[in-house]
Amino acid sequence: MPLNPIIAATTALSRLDGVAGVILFKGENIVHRQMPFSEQRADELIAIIRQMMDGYNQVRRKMRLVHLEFDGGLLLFMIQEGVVLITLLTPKADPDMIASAGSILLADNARTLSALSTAASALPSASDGVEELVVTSPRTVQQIAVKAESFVSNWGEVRKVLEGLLSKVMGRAQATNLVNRCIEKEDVGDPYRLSPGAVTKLATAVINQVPNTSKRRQLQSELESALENLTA
Amino acid sequence: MRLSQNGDRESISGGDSEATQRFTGEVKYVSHFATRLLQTLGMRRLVFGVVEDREGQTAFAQTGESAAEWNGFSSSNRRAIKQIREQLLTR
Repeated sequence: MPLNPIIAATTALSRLDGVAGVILFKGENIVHRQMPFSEQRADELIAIIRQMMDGYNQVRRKMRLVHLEFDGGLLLFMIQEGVVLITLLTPKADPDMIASAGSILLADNARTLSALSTAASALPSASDGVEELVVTSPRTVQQIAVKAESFVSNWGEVRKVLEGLLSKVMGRAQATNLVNRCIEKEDVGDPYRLSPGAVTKLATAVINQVPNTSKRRQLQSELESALENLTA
Repeated sequence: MRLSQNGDRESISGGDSEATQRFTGEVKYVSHFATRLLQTLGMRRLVFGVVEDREGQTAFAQTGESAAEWNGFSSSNRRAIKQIREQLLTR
């Protein structure tokens, strides 16, 4: 079964205000993982939460939600039929709203998720051409965000703009895939480390992939105006 | 309900026996895993937690700076996280 709609929905969830990271997994099968720290650290997090859920399963308790507020950030995870959706939140987030959105995501995709295997999947690793931003020492979520902002480009915002524009002419998942393909094709390395000019060039290259000439021109002009607003 | 832990000794006050047992079990289980998550997340302490299943909701918050005292409840009603947080942390 195609997982693109689930991944697109999970990506959309990660764009909600105050969401710093999202992981979706079932048993050993990690469907989606997008955290502001290294893969290894994300795997440690998954392993601990998996053990916690296993403990509940052993006493036949079907958990729905676990919300943990630490001194530097929040972990909110929703559980449905063995599928766990973890969100890492900053204090800015509205946990009730994220919990509703997450539960709807799990309910809407229940059929696909229940058919998923619990065995480890071949999730693409970081060696897919995009170098992950790795934070080697533990920091609070806010510190990570502040630190990250000081040396990364505005690619995150530009990508949101791009995906928003592309979604006018194609599905969200298709838009996400198109952006990923362009990053690989343009061989830019880590887009978060590009200069502002190179970010604009990459964004233009993405829009240039739209086959319809008039739509492409329209999107190009909207992109230019959006990029001007971003740098203003 | 209030759960105080001091080494091997623990005391709990408030609530009926079923709710007390549930609250104690939940706080101990969740705080055990939360402690393991601290290092992974780069944080220092758990301040507030909510756990929900079909039967209801258990919520707990640390009282003051002590990691050994938890204030909260176990209930069959489900309430918004924001509302519980306000009740337990801003009192």
